[in-house]
Amino acid sequence: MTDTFLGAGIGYRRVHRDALLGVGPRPDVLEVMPEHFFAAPSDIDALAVAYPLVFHAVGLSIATAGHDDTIARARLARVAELVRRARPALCSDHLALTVSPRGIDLGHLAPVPYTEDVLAVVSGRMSRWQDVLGVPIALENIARPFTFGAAEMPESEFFTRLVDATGCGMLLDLTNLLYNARNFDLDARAELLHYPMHAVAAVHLAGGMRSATDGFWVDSHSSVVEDDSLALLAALRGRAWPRVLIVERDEHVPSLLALTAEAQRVAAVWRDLPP
Amino acid sequence: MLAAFQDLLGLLATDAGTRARFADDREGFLRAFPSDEGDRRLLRAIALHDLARFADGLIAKRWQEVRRVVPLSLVVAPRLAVAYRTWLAEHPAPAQDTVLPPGPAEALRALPTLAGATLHPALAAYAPDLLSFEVLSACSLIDGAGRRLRAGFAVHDIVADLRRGVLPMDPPPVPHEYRFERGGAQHRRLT
Repeated sequence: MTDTFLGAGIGYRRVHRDALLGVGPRPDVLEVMPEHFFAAPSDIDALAVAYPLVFHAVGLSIATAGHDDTIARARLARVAELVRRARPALCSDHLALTVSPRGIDLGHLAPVPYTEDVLAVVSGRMSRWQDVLGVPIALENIARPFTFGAAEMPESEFFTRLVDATGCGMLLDLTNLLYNARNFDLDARAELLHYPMHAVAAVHLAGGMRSATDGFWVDSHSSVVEDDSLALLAALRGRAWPRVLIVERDEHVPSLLALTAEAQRVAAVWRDLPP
Repeated sequence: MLAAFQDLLGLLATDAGTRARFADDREGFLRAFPSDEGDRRLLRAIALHDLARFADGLIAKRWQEVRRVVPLSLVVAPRLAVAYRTWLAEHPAPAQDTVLPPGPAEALRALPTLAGATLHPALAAYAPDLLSFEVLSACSLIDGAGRRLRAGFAVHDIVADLRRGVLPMDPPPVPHEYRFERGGAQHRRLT
């Protein structure tokens, strides 16, 4: 991915809408969840005029086997309508299962085993999405709540093969990578270099929490980006060329001013500027 | 085979009974599961405590989304959390094509159950009406669909009090009909 760098941005939250459309410090780019605009697609228009946008979906469940039913198609069509309307630079979702084949909505991201069967399903679905959406698409590595042991291929190999097969991009979530490494005894910096660097279209960073019960790291998007995530970002310089860097925050959402400042801090790390 | 594997994974994540059987006798459970040895290897590798944490996290996330829809009802019926979590553990959410975000969509699905949980002599008599008011108005504000509520109380006054930090004690029953739309709620007193 060598397209123009759009900058460092934040995830759109409705509570910030007036400030985002007013005067004052602004992020370089906004990441919006298309699902938030399903009910009123025209609400996205003002944002699309004011900012470069990237889409980040959460419920398309790309890995679900046989999940080509009416509901899945309808949701993809809604996203496609918003893509036509707002022309985002990128559309992404997660490499995960959110809906089971029999139609249970898990409500969150479940990991899928990195196997040949899953690779075939995800590759086929990705090709369809590319046809329907008509903009670059990237998939994100999730914070895995559990793994499937040695019976699966490494995540980095799965992404590399997916990129090779479909030409899709990767949304590299450095905090997810960091937490997976902490939770499952991996070396995050060593793992990082195995991902398809040339395909990294976007980077996510967030701050999470460590469970007081069992020490498990949870990607809760509830605090500032920690230094270990920023160190991974610095390690990406010269290896990957993402178009956007996004700071995610879902809990304890601060003011737009504070979030924008955090995005600027991330941008400074990326440009190797003093903080 | 992959679809069967994923269906089982979905059940393990959302159904406490399936998870318990898996934990009690994993090999027996896997023998009864129509899968190949590759799938069974994957399932054997899942750490039970990780799976339990994930399942708890799914319920907690759902509740966090639902609770944002019913903040005033939680003031008068704090045990809604327990009622919802118990119900969800036995009634996983079906995928649906809706324009509503997850919280309002799930609150709407759970409304009959949650309203039932507010029918308790220790709770304010207006609690079920208040709950329905919050859920229906939140959904209509988002999707613009018209919804109606016949209430035994002047819920709009109760809502106003609660937003001011005043907990209404035994307000008189005054039947009202409400109509919710994207622009807000309209009401009329019933005689």
